[in-house]
Amino acid sequence: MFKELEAQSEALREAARVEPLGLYLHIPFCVDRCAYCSFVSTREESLRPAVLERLRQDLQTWGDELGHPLVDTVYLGGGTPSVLTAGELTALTDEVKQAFDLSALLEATLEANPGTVDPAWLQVARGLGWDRISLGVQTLDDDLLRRLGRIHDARTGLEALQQARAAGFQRISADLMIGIPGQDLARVLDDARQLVAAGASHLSIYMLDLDKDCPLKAEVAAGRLVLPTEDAVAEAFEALQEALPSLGLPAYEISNYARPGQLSIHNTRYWERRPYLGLGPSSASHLGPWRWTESGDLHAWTKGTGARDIQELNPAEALAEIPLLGLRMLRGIDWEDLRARAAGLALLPLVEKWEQELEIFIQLGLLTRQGANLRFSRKGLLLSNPVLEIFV
Amino acid sequence: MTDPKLIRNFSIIAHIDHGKSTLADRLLELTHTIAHRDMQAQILDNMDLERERGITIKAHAVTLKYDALDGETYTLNLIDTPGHVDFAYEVSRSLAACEGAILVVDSTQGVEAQTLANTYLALENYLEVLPVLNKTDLPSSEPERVLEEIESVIGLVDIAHSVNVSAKTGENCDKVLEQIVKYIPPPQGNPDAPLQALVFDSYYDAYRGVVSLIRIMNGRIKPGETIRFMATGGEHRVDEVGIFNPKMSKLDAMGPGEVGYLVGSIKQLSDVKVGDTITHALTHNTKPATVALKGFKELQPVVFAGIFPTSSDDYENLRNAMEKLRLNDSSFQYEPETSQALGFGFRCGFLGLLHMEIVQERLEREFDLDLITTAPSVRYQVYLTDDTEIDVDNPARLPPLPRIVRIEEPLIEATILTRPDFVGGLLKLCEERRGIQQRLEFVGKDRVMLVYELPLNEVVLDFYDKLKSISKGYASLDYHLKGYRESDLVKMDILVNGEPVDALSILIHRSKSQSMGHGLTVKMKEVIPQQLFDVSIQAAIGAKIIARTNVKARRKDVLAKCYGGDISRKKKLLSKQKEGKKRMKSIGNVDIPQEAFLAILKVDN
Repeated sequence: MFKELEAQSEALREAARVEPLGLYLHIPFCVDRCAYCSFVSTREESLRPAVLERLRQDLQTWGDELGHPLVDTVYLGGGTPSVLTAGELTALTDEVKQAFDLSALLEATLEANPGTVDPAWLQVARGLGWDRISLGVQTLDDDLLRRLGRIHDARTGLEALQQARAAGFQRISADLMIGIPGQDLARVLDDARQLVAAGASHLSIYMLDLDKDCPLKAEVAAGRLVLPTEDAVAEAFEALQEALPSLGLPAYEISNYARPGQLSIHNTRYWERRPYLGLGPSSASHLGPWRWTESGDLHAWTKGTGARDIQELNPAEALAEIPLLGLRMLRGIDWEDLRARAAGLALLPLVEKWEQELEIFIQLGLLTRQGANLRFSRKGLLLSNPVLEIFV
Repeated sequence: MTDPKLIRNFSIIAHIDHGKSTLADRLLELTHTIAHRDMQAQILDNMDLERERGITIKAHAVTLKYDALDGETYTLNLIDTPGHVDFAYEVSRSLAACEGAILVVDSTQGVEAQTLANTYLALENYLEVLPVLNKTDLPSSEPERVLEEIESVIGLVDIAHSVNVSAKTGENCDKVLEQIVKYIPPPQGNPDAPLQALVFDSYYDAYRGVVSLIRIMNGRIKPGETIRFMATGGEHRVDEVGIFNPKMSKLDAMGPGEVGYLVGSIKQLSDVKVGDTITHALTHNTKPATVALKGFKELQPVVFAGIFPTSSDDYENLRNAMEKLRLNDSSFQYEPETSQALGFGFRCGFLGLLHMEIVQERLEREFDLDLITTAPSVRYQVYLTDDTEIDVDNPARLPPLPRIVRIEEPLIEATILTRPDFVGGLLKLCEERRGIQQRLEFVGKDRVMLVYELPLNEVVLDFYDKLKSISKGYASLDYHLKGYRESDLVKMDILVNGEPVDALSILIHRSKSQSMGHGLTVKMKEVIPQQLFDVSIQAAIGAKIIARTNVKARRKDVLAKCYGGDISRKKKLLSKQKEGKKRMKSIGNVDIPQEAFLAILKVDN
């Protein structure tokens, strides 16, 4: 707990009692920095003891403060969690188990860089109870991997999937990136097929987005690399929308595809506005009416002096998040349910304003309304921002 | 009251960047009007916009006390004037308040058309012109050549008293003061004659009401008296008179030759017209002058455009902003206008394109508004079949063709000064703009003067920018209205997704309609962002489509990146995108940015 929300500790505890939490832990270490990355991460090994100690303290504090609540999903992200030694991972996992009640655990995911895993480590992880692994494969083209500054090659990427399966992971996700300079459509489709064949039951399709400063952005700015056109990226995305269901992985969210029953329960809670606690630099939390993000300044976070960005959502903002986030799921949202909630909060005029603004998008075929259900059409997924802007 | 023999009234004429404001700063320093430590660059141009653009928009006056070599202390009144051709009338009135003018010319460059025009204005007002060659600290300075040019171009100016200075380093600036005392004649005037004071500018002050900048020609004025503005007939009580040194300081009375301000019970700027004559009202101890000072005229706008709020919610805010702006700019005119495409807004009249830009920028900046300005138009005289004549300054309001007998368009006489190597390009530009050559002559060794008769509507469309780019900046332009001429003009409409957008209609010469239609639709395509559906842009004359482009629909606008649970970040990204769209006008679901309405200014004509 921190001072800004000290006065709210009872309300936070209550929010954590109402339903199980998700727990996100950010491991801010990487072997090397990828050329497109803008996440909080460091290569500085010497910081590790202090960072892990800080994380341990935070786990203990929050566990105590919230009354050791039920946590039903855990997500170890980064950075690169797989740079932790087996010993460090074991200690961290024990700390999580001590701080929170994992008796109703549904899913425990860890992210891994294919270049940093080996069979022994994977077996330790699986043995500790981690049952889902998300591998940052990105592409199976060695030239493109080098261009992205990744430390692994295509063979290592596929091997990591096989090793994860051998270690007993039933639920394997791989990240696949589109929009990389020099990437062609046939390559993307072939990558998807190979990953599914190698055992991926979940794929996250991300578009390379150089919105923050990074080496790749500088390369593009200098004219040494050319980003694919918006049309080319759209074509790749649409081709995957077409191909992945026939490989057995239909989409369930704008960027995510999974075999039935294999969707990420932890990530789904983000879109369903269910509560989660994020620990570690730059991690985000949502509990009660509050959202907060920890400082992204690694040193400040470690010292506990970093500034947190805290927002308390008013009822209208909270209501707007239901479609803003919920529509990202392909199944869409129950609009009548939204209306009913709004009516209870005397916010029906707001919903009616949205309805007016949504009309044009329904006419354009970006949204489909069937009974109470409102969801994006396939075309609409790629053009979702103009629709979602209504709700911010 | 100061003895007129110890007064000198002068103005500074200069082209942009030739150093007018810097020289003024030095004179203020040398006369201890402003202590060096309080000096802020370009003290007279105190509007942000003036400093940024390096131009003077409003006239100013400042009184300096100078201890001359002859042992006397002189009162020097510096009247700073706008330099741009849009403000030629204001300049002429400021000059009429002076006996002399300092002609500042950059000695690394030479005389420019704008300087030339204002120097002629000074000479027409019988001013003594004192040449000052600036920037002599620069290696490329050629004072002799430039002096020769001044003599041959302007002819009348007596170059014998010229001073070479560096306003930047301050070198020789004290000599300028001495020359002012020596060569600029003291003001004349009879203190016992009926009051005649020239209003050369005015501004609105929230606490004092309207402040008039005046020069006493004859008679005396003091607080408590009742004055009459001879052109408007308005009578007001004088609350205070005084000088700017540079802050306002009260005087007991003002007499002939003095320059300063007058504050009275005047609420509206429109009561005080630049060029008007102030005299006394008829009372038991004062009587009015029988004649007004010469040169007063009502200012007429020459360029017209619609100004609309991007968000219709801002209409009232815009109206309030315009009211406030007009308090300080009586030459800006506006009246309510309704556009099918843009909703409620205002049709506005300006003195020129620069004036239009300044008004829009001040409205947006000082009142925090997002505005759409439509393409500038001139005022056409349209003769109808029922033998009536109407003025049309909004192409959307042109009567149907069968009712029109003929359309006459305004003409200007433009004077361009440039270097010989750019003459070819500039002749081509003038010809393309339907110009008729009046004169082409060498003035000085390295300078050519072109005089063209041009249709004003060709000049309001980016003529000045083209002139600058063709001449790499070495050409200057000055113009005045010359009259009207019948012309084969057609109305070109722009259709967005099949719907005509009234705010985009323009009147154009038939010979140019094809190329303009093509250029405009191409330019619109560049500035209209891709939307969720294809957008067609057509140019049409009557029912005939003459050009067409297509903005293809966007294929992707999605956040598909791994941000984990950082929902706040996602929201920020979406908000930013949404803000960008707010600056656009939605017409039939097509988001059209501000630039699209002025795309006509960017078309290669």
